Formats: sequence, structure tokens, C-alpha cells
Amino acid sequence: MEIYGLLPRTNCGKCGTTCLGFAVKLLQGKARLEDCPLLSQPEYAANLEALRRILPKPSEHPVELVDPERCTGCGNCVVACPANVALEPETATGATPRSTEVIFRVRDGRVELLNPDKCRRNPPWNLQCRVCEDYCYAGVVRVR
Amino acid sequence: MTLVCTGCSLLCDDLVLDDEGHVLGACSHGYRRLKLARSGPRLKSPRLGYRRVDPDRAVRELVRALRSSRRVLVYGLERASDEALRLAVDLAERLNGLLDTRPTLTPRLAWGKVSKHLVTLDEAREEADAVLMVCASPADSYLRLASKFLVFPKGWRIPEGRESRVVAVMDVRRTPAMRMANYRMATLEPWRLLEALRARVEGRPARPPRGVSMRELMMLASDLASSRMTVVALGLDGVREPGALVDEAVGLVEALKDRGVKAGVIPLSETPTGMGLVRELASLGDPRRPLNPGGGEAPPSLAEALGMVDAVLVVASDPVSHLPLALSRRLASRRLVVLDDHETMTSRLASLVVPVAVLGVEEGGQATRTDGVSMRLSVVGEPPEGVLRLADLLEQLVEEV
Repeated sequence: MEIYGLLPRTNCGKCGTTCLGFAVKLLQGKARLEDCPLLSQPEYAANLEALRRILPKPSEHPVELVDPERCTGCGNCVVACPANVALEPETATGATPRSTEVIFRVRDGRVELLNPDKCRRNPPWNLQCRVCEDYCYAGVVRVR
Repeated sequence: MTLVCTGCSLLCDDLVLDDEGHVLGACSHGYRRLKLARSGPRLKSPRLGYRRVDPDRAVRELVRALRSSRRVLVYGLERASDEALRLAVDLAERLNGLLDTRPTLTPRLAWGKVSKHLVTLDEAREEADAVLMVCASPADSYLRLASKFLVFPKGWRIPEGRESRVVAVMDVRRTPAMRMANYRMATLEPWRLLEALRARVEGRPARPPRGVSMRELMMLASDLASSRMTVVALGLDGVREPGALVDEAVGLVEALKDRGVKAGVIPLSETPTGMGLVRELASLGDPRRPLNPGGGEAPPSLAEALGMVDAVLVVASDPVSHLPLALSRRLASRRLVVLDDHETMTSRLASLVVPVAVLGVEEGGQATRTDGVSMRLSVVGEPPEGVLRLADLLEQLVEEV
């Protein structure tokens, strides 16, 4: 509600939803402040600043771990990720990756995100892949 | 160093212990077992009543307790090597006692029907292009079942891994594991669903149970009938009619085999070494009943067995936490002795507690994975001073009683 209180609350629909819906999407990381054209106007400058302070900072990488302590170490992301398998081919058979060159690895019962820059959502591949997020039992792995 | 995990019945054999003491590959269940050995909470000192006693006195008291009891039930063996299992049977025989374990263990309930349809996890990984996870809770219990064996890995005949497989997850409720499935089937009557699938595979009309659409039923039956190999990973978690579920799972497998589809079952053991114990029990009698190793009729149930004994030796198990209250009370009213590696609800009620080494960390040997494959366990360290390995302790008891 704090986020909603700082939005224009005109329900103009230009972001594709109502202001309340937009507030929820901002919190979920499914929308950006730039998606609301009214917020860039001078009368909403203070609101925009406040929103930038209170909203979680988006990750600069396309994949991140949210609440990693909830991870159960199932390894689905490790084996499902095609980039992981390309970096350490034995992973394709379900084996534990040993190197630190992979994107995901399970260590001490939880997943580690070692090299998110190697994710193929990044250039030059720009793939719309989200298998790590789709197959995560605990909802820890998120694709931005 | 490579380890074999004893966190669950998958006994994953690809864990790596690095030079800094970190473990690669272990899920949270496996890591918890390794951490138990290193930093607790584990049992380190024997206890007689509420007093700590030295290990030699504990073993003497243990022998005295066993000898002076009228009849002993050896119970549990949920985390025991194959060697320890055989010694436990030997001990029960020498004491003219009984031996039993968790009554609801899936391989135990399913043994008579599934034993001729068993397939291994490795075979499934290499060849199965259709997988049914039935009441298995892989997201809670067998965490690496999908990533190491049945869903994601590539295999000899599974070149694309997940993309080469049809995966159906069926359970009595919606589960996180359904995220990875092509078919997500939540029904309170999973046995009816398997019965309907079987009927469709055999070309007979069928109606799906509530919670499953006719379209899903028809499509899944078609996928199974046209698969090269179908594997049913069978659990009995939360199921009202376990016997019916086992029957229908086997019926489906047989129907698929009649159609020329390679098919099999993997019963998922709720305890790490449960399959090993069930095989041992099956070699000596009916694994669904308590064992009377000395010969003579075996009691039909744990309740009857408890009525025949005045002492219970609980080995690597916590019956008070998994048995119905009435049975727990009956068990706790007997002279209770516990051999385990960590404090449990049962050990808190015991008159004598003797700590043992952590299996797969401080104690090795052979152990049987949930699909019946024998695994060689690793040893990465010594148990604390005064703590014996279970197999060594049982061997000593066999000699002294």
C-alpha cells in the first residue's frame, strides 16, 4: 500500500493495468518504474525518488536467487540449465559439477549462483530461456 | 574425495568433499547428515536413565538388559548397513526375539507385487522416456530424484534430457514437483487414476477420478502406450488405500508390458536403508510381518509383536515420531533401549541410550539403494572416542548374549 500511495492513482491504464495492479507488479519485479509515463512528470518527482528508495534494486543479471535459504539443494536448476551443461558436460547425466565455471552449483545443501553473466539470456545469445525458474521447487531461482 | 550420501534412500554416490570441508552435490537432507557428524546435535555419550555413563559400562548394561528380558523386539534399522542388518537378525535370533521396522515402508507394503517388476534408477535414467511419479513427494523427500535420475538427465536413449521425456506427477494434493511435469494430476483417489490409465492402455473405456480431465487421461494413456520405456516411481505418502495403489501400479505396468512397452516400478523407501531391510526380511519370510528369526509363527503386526515382548531395542530409528499414539505408548511402556547417532523423541524416553557412528560418514559397509542396487558407503572420519560403529556393536552383542 505504501507503493500504491506514491503512484499517481489515476488508473489511466497506460502501463497496462490499474495503479493498484501496477504497484503489485512493481513489488514482484514484473514491472519497472519507467513503465508508468506519469511518474516521469515534474509533479511526481518526489514520488519517483521515494519509490526508487523503497523498491528492491533490480539485479543487473538476468537470473537471481531470492531467499536462498529456502533452497533444498534439489539440483534441478543445475541439470536443467543448458549453459551449465555446456560448461561442464558431465552435468548432463545428473552428476555434480565440480568446477567453479558453471552458473549453478549445489554446495553445502544449497544452490550457489556462481556466474550469472554466463546465462544465455545475456548477449550475444539473448535467449528467452527460463528453465531454472520453471523447475525450481522452492521458487528461489528467479529470472528477471 | 567422493562420498556416498545417506540422507535418503537414493544414496547418491557423486558427492564431493573439497579441501575446505565443503560438500558439493548434497541436497539439504544429505548435508544435514554430514553436518550431524561434524557439529551435531548428535549423541556422544551413553546415558543410563538420566545419568551419563562411560561406554564400557553402557555396553555391559546393554548386554544385561537384553539377557534379563523375557523377550526382545529389535526395531527400526532405518540407517544400517547390510552387514548391520544381518547382525541384527542374528541378534534377534539368539535372543529368541522378534524383529520389525516401520509398518508403512513403501517397499515393504509393495514387495510381494512389485518385486518382479523392479527396474533400477540408472536404467530409468538411460532409457525411460515416460515417467510417472505417484504420491512420491520428490520436492520434499527424494530431492535429487528428478535431477539425478528420472526427469532432467540425458541418457543413452534420452538424448535431450527433459525434452525427451513425458513426465506425469500424480498426488493426493498439488505439490511443487508438479512444476516440472507435463501432466499435473491431483486426485484423492490416485489408485482410480492408475486403474483408468490401465483400462485405456488395454483399449477399454474408462472414466477419470475427480480432479483429472478425460482429455488428460486419454493423452497420458496414449503417451504411455507409445513410449519405449515407462517407469513408475511409487510412494505411498498420504494415500488412504496403499494396497489398492500398489495393485493398480503393478496392473498398469503389466498392461504396458503386454503392449510391448518396457515398464517397471521403483518403490521409494522412506528410510535410507529400508530396501535393504525389506530384502533381508523377504529372504526369511513375509516382509510385511514382523520377523521371528528363531522359527515359529511370526506375529501378524507390530501391535501383536509388542504384546509378546517386554523389551524393545530400537536401532537407528525414532518410532515414537512415526507410529500412531497407541503403538508409541505401548512401545514406551516396555523396557526401551536405543542405539542411534542423534537425540530423538524415542531416545528421550529410553532407559538406556548408546550412541553409534553416523552411517556413510564414520561407518561404511554395503547399503541397498531404494531400487535394490548395492552401494559401497564411504568413511571420511572416525567416530568420537567411545562411540562404536553399529555393525561392531551388534557383533559384540551377538557374541556376548
